[in-house]
Amino acid sequence: MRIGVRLGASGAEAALAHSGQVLAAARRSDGGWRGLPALVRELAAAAPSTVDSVVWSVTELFEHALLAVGPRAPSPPPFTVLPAVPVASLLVLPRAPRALAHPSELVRSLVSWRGAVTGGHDLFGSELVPVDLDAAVRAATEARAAGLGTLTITATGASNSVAHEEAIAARLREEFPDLRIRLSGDAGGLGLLERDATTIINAALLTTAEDLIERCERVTAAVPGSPSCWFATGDGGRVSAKRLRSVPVRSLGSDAATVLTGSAVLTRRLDAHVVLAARGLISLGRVDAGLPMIAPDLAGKLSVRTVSPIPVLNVRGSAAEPALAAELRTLVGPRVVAAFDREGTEVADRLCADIPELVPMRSEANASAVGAACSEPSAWLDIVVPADTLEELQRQQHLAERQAMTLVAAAGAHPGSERVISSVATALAFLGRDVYRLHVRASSEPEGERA
Amino acid sequence: MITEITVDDLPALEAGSQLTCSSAGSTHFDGALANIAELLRERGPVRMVGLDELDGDALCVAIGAIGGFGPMLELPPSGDEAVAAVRALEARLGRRVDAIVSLNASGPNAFAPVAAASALGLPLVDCDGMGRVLPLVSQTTYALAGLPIGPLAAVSLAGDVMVLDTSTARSELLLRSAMQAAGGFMLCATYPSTVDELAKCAIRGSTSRVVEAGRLLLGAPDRATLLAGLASVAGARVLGGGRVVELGHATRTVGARQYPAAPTSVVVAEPGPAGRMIRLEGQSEIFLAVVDGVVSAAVPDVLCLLDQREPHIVGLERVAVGNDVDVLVMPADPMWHSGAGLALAGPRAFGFPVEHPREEGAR
Repeated sequence: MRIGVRLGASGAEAALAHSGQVLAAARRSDGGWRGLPALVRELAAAAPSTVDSVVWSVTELFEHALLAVGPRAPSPPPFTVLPAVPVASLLVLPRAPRALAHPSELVRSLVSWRGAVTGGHDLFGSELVPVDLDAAVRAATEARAAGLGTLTITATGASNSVAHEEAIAARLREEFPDLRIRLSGDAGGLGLLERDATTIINAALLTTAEDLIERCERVTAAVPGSPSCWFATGDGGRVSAKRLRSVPVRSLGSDAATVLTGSAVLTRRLDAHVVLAARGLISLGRVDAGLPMIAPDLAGKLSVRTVSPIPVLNVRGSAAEPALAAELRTLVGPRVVAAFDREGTEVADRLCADIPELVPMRSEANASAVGAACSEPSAWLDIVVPADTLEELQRQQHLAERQAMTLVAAAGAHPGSERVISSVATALAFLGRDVYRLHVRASSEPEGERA
Repeated sequence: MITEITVDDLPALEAGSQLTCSSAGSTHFDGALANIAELLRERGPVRMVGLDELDGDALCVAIGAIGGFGPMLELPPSGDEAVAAVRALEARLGRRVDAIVSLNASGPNAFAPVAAASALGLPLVDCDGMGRVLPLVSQTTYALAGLPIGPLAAVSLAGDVMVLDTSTARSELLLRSAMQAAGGFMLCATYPSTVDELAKCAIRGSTSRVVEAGRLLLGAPDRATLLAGLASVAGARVLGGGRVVELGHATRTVGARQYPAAPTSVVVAEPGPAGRMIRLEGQSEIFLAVVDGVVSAAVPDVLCLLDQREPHIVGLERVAVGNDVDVLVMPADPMWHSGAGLALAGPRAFGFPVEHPREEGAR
C-alpha cells in the first residue's frame, strides 16, 4: 500500500495505490507544508491495510529553488523551499577553454566563481597533462575569499579516470578542511559539460534538499505504520530520502516521468504513446512496460543537459494540434491522452473525437501522484568501455547489467525483484579502437507483478 | 549563397552538419560551439567566399578533424587549434595560406573550418571534399582528382603539433596512430592546394547547404515542411520509416583494421502488416540500406536516421531499440558516382560485396 504525493505550484496532489490500482485520491491547494499531514493522513485512513511507503514528487520545488537564484525567479509555490546556493566551480583541462562560463544560463546563475587548472585524462584513461595541484590550491583560495563553501571539480576524462579530481580533492581537504567538495566523476557519464552541469546543480541543491527532504520525512513519519520515505526520479524510478540528500539532481524530470507512468496506470495502457495537454502546450511521450522512455543529455524543461536521464518528451505549442493529430493517426499501438486543465481538456476532447482509438485519461486522481506511488527503485549506468572482441563486449555488458541490478538492490528493491529494463551498447565513432558506450537501465519489478 | 557566418548561424550550422553525417556520432557539441561563439564574438563574422572569388594561385588548406566525436564531448576544442596546425604547415611550405576550405562540411568538421578561418583571420571557401562524412581523410574528391594530402599538420587537444610529409596512404596510417595516442582526436590542416587545383574537384556550396538544412531542422513548423525543404536543399527522400527493433555490433576480431570503426547494424521495422524491414549496415556511419533483402541505397550517398518526433538526426552513438525514425537518403555529389568515386567510397570499398544502385549491373 503506497501513497504518492506531488508538490507543485498548484498545491499538493496525492493518491493511494496498491499493486497498480488507485484506491483513493486527495488534493489540497492551500495550507502549504502545514496542510500536508492532514492530506496524507486522509489517504492513510482510506487504506485497507498499512501504508508501507510514501513517494514524493518534488521536481517543481527543486526547479523553483534553482530558478530563484537567477534573474527570472518565478513566483514562490505554496511550499516554501530554500533557494539553491551558488557554488565555486573548477575545471581541470589541458588548457583553459576560450569560453570558461558554462553555456547553460541556469548553470551560470549557480556558479559564483569559476576557474580552470591544467590536468585531465583522455577518453581512454591516459593522462593528457600532469595535474597542477598548486594552481588548484590557489583557485580554492580565491573561491574561499569570495565566500563560497562548496567547490565542484570537473576534470576532462573523469568518466574513465577520476585520478586528477581525487588528487585535487585530497589536497584541498588538507588545506581547507571545511570546504564541501563535489567531484564530477561521482556523477559518471560521458561529456565534460554534462557532468559539470550535473555536479554544479547537485551541489547547489544540497541545502535545499536537506530542508525539503526533512519536511517530507516528518510528514511521512506521522503516517501510521511508519512507512518509508521515497522520492520520484527523472528516470521513472524512485530513491530513498537518504540517497536523494546526496543526489538531488536525480529528482529533476520526475514530474514528467511520474505523469507518464501515472497516465499509463490510470488508463491501463502500459505500452503506449502518451499525449499530455495543458496550458498551450502539447507533449508526446511514451511508456514501455509502464516506464517512461528516457535518455541522458536531453536539455529538458530547464534547458540544460545533464548526465541524469529524463523522459523523452516532444513538446509543441497548441498550434501544432492538427499536425499532432495527423501523427497520432499514423502511430501503431495504444495511444493515450491526458489533460491537466480546461484548455488541455478541450484539446483532448477534439483529439478523441478525431481519433477513435485514442484513450482519454479520466480520473479524479492526479497522474503524477499515481506515477510516484507506482514507481520502483531504479538505476542508470552510462559508461565507456573498450572491447576488442564480441565476447569481451558481452562480458562488459553483463558486468554493467550486474552492477545496475546491484544498485537497484542497494536502493531498497524487494529482494529478487531487480531486472534489467534495457542494455544498449553503441560503438563510439571513428576512434580506431573498439570502444563502446554502454547504457544500462534497471529497475525493481512493479509491486503488482511480484509473486 | 551565404557570404558570412555569424554567431547567430552556429545553431543552424550545428543542426545542419548532422544531416550529412550519415548518422555518425552524437547530436550536440555545446562545448565546442560555445568556444567558437566566443571566437566569433571577439573577431566578428567569418567571410565566406566562392572559389571563383579568389585568385587562381591563392593557397588553401583543408581543415578538418580526424578521430571521434566522443573525445570532443569530453574535451571540447577551443576553436583556435587550427592556428598551430596552419602555422606549422606554412613553415614547412615556406608560404602563407590565403584561405581555408573544409575537409568535409559535416558534423564537427562543418564548424572546425569556421573556427579556423576566424582564428586565422582568413576567408572560408564555401566548398568541401566529401559532401558528407567518410571515415578516411584520404576519401575525398580532392584525392580523387590526384591532389596530395600533404604535407599536412595536425594538432591534438593537449596542444601537441605534428607535421607529416609522406604519401597519402602512409599519412593516413601515421595520422591514425597519432590520433589514438593523442586521445582520439586531432585537428588537421591537409591538402595544401591552389584555387585552380581545387576548382576541378571541390564540392561547391557545401557550407551554405549545411546552414540552409540546419535552418530547416530548427525552424520547419512540421514534418512535412521539413521533408519538403530537405528535398529541395539536399535532394533528400524518405526511404522508409518505423521503429528500431534491433541493434547489432560485430567487433573486429579478424582481418586488417582498414577503417577506424566497429561494424554496426540497425534494423527498422515499418508499421503494419505490409511494413517492410529496413536493414542498415555501417561502421561509424550508415553505409547500406537493404529493404526486404534488396539494396536500396548505398554509400557514397548519404543515409541517415531522422527522429519522427523531433526534427533531429539520430546518431549511431545514441540510437536505441524503440526509437521511431525515418530513413533518409540523399544523393552524393556526382563526382562520387564515377567509377573511380565508387571504387574509393562505394559499398565495395567498405567490404560490402554489392553494387551501388546506380551501377550498371544493379539496375
